[in-house]
Amino acid sequence: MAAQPVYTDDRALLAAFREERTKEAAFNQLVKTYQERLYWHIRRMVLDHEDANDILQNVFIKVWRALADFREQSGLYTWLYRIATNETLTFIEQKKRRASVSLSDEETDLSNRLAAQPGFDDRQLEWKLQKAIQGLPEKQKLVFNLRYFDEMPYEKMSEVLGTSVGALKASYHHAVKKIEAYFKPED
Amino acid sequence: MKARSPHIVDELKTLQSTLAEVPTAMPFEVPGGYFADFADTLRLRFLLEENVTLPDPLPAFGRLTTPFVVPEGYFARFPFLLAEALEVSILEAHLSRKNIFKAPQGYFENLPEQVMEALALSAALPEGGNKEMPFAVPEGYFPEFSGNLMARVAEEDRIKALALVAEKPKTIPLRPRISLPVQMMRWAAAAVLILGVTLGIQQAGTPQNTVATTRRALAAIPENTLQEYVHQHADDFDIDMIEARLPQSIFQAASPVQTLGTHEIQAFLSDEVLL
Repeated sequence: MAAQPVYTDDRALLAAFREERTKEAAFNQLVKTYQERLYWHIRRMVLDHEDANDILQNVFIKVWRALADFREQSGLYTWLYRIATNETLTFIEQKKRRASVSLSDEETDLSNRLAAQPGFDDRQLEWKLQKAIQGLPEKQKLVFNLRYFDEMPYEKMSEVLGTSVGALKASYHHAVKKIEAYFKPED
Repeated sequence: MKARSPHIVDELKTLQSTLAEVPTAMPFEVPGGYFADFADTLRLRFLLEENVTLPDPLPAFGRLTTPFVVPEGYFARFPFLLAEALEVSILEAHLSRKNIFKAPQGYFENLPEQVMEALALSAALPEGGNKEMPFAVPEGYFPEFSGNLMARVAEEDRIKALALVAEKPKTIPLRPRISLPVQMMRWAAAAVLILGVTLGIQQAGTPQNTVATTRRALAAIPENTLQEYVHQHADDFDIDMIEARLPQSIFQAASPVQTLGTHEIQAFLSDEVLL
């Protein structure tokens, strides 16, 4: 089996994708490069693996169809994150509409889904952090996850979410404070 | 575990957050081999999305090849295997159209004889069958029925009437009785009185009173003036109308108009026309 060509940067990968002969190999590399990062970005928002898997597949199908027309005005990395974020938010919105739950019910639902995860133990710090994150508003949750876990620079995050750097910094600051408050023992 | 970026840690420290110490490892589980197989899963999804006819057998996409083995020709033989699994009697009923219902033993052999017996029995019966009712009716029931019925109706009416007398009907006022204060009653009486006077004054101007006024005005006219008026306008009067008012004897004697004197005409006019 011939070794797959390795494209050293996004530009080379995009060029290969536009060639019919190398299109599939280039796409394969793109999937392998970004699948885990995008998966976790989605999974942190939807919690369930099956939901995350469905969304991730939809993201890459959209990428396959639109990649040839990608104009490189933004980086491939931010473009992929933008698609993944939009797909995730659309999925969450549709799920909310189907269930027609109130805000308080939604938070309870997220907590229940988190508690249903295999190996859940809210005495462990990682799970406790996840529980605290589920209490944040949707956008704040996105900002916190992108910054805290993905370590995304604010400038790139601004491209992904279409929000100013200042607003994102403020949002992250608020999110951190809320999570801190969650961790503090009650007086 | 991946080392944290110093930028992120510094930022958390600036925010005086203890989150810098919290591990970033994801506690969620992912099915084994998920990421290794994802590209193949995605490729299969593409084939399905693009309505591509999948090759048979499917190309070996790593772990996507099913580890289970199906005996050769299993799907071709499946309907027969299913038939075998079903109860034989039901299967036979469907496949060979054999009747699953059973008739009593010897039923068909004895059937002609039974039919003949039934025919003989029906021939022995009188024409049209016996319509007489086997039930007894008290003697004179039908002739007396009508009279008894009317007597009962009359009796029921009498009982109802007695019941009505015994139980005096309750008068239910159509609307609740309102007791007005005396002062209000006085004002109401005064209003009725004023209304009556007003209507009386209006009645004074009616046609009957107008006739009385005309009569008084005519009485004031001198007799000579009236006579002159009659002489000047005698031709204008309706002769037929005058004749109709005169006695029949006058017509027999002569022409009514000729026999009429001025006095009679004046009397007529004063009685019938002017009044």
